[in-house]
Amino acid sequence: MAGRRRKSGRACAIVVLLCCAPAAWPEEEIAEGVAPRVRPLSASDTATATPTSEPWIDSNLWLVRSLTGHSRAPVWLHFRVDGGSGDDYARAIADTAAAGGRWAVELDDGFQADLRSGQSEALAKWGRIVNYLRFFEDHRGWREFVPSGPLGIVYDPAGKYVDISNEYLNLIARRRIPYRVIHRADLGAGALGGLKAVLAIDASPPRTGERALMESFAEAGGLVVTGPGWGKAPAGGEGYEVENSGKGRVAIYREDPPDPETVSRDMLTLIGRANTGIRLFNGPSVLCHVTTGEAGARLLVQLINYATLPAEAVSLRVDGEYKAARVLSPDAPPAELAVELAGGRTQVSLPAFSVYAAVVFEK
Amino acid sequence: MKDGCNGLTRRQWLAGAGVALGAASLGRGQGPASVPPVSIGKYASYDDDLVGRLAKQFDQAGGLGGLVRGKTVTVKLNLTGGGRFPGCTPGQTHWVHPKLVGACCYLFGKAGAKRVRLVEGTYEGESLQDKMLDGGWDVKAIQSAAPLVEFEETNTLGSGKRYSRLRVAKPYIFPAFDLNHTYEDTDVFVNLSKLKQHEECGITLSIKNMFGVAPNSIYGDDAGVDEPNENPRKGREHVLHLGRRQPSKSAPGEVNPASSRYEGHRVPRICVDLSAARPTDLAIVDGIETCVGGEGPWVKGSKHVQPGVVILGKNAVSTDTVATAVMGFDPRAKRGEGPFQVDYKSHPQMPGDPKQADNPMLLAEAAGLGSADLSRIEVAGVSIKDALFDFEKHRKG
Repeated sequence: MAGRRRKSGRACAIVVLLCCAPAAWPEEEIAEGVAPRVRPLSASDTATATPTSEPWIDSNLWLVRSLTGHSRAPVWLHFRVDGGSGDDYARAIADTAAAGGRWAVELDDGFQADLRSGQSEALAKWGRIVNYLRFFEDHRGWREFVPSGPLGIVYDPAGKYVDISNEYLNLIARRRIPYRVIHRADLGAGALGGLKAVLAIDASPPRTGERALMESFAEAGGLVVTGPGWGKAPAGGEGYEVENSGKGRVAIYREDPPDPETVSRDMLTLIGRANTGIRLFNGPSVLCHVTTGEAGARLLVQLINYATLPAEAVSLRVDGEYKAARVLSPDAPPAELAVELAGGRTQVSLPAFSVYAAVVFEK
Repeated sequence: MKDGCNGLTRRQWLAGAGVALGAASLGRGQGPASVPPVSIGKYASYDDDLVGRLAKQFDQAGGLGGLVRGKTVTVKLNLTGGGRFPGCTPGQTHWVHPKLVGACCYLFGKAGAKRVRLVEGTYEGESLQDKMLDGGWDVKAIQSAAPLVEFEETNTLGSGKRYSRLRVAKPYIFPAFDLNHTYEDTDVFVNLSKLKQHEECGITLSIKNMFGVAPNSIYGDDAGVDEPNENPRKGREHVLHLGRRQPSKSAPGEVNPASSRYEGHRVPRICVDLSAARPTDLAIVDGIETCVGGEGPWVKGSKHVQPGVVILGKNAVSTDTVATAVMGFDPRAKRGEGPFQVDYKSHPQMPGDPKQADNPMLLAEAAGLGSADLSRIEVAGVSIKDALFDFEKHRKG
């Protein structure tokens, strides 16, 4: 299963470009990820609608974020892209690198054979891989940017239901609600600064200090979403009960732990689509990772398209007024985007992209 | 609000118009010519010359100038549900297509419309423009297609200060509806729907498109008990589909709350009631591309097809009748016959559910809203035979 750490040292071929290999390789632990893609679910081998009404996307964005701890040591992922196209390999790199991780590039056997025989298509595919790796190394400064969003998710990797906790991170990312992972050990003063909501099911029941912190957060106008361990859980009926607390609210689920799909859907309702800080239009197969740098002067939105068809006519709207926006991609030269300012928000229309695009907004 | 017609308020005029217009269309005791013609046009794709071909169809249906010149034209779109079919935009399958909407706006503007107002309900509190953007629409292009194009989200009060109460002269379920103001504050009402099947009702055309007119704030599952909930998040299952609760008390309740709760009985009748409350002046059915087997990607087994037709006319009942025939169905099929023998695949089935829906065209005809008799409808442009696209064959194939 994705997310379970394991020691490296597989016998299969692992190609790592020297420019991004860790000094301590191969002692470094590698986590097992998934080949990023829109996953076919139906018998006809086409993507079908899921309860989210959108294609099912396999992604490692959440996984890298969950594994990024205090030390901010690089997170390495392992997975194979069997029979992958150039886009598939590019997506594997982008999906891991966007959140600051790195994929231990692993080529399938056929690709390796084609490369050894100097086949032109294989060489072109290899060129694409190198191009993507180089792009993320050229922009390694982005790894220092901090996640931005209205939601904080308290994450306890040593918790009772870690698989469920992982699913909160995975499915809320698929709802395109930008969030900040707060490791439970870091849940102290200042941890909730700048947030509108905190999902704290991993801190249910809360310890004394945690409860006080979250109560203060709610009383100041925030939304706390928690499990029945908080107390006052609904006995029946709706899945959660909302009680007012000062200027804010506390939503308490009945189920322990609540179903991740339900929670991800409810989070959109509880926070409100208008309050997510970012809105991606016409990107059902696109996920994004949102970070800020230079004390908020720059907003970076990285978009990954998981479908085999290019993402076209995608628009992006973010909270805040930015003077300029530029799109960058390993597949195309950088380009300035026309920004539209309205109602304290900035909107841009993106050119079509096959796998990855990054939009840098500047104040 | 006075509209200058015989001292009647617009609301009073609307209340009587459904029956009056329907009676005129139906032409009981009169010659067949009293039924407005319906035009069928063939299109290769949405990249075809939509403006040129639509203009010809509008002429075949009686012309636009006299209808829209100097008027406010409100266009109810069908942008139902979320999700997509693989590789398709919503406009290619279960929504009306933005290029067709743009072409209509352009032609309304060219014919002298003072204002074109696009309306539809959305979920989760988003604006109509946001919903369009999410479907990959070029909102700016549509906005500039006519001198003044406006957008209104109608699942709530929207930009209005109060709801408009529109009455039903001969109601099946509801004697009147409280609707977003745009359905009253208009001179011309255009119903722009999609040529589709429907999992619970059999077909989705102009009459069924009216279902989306009812605001979720009053008729939604989380509508307020006493007053509208201006922050609705749920659909219309409990109030309209199944009748498990009444709308907000601020709006009129059902004529007979003890009547059948079966949605195959209720939904067609509610759509006809809404069609009577807010009569359609021009019905346009987008069948250039669509889906078969259901009304959207959430229906198991539904899929994308390209019938390549647009059907339009000045009477919604007649237009739907022709459109149903183009789909390969008998427009006079009775409850449980043809497309009205419904087969749920995705929808939860109720105990004792007969899996039969009523024919909304026959219900509308009986209510005096128009003719569902093909022999009395003049078809202009392409013949039904030449436009035929057998939905059942494609669904099974």
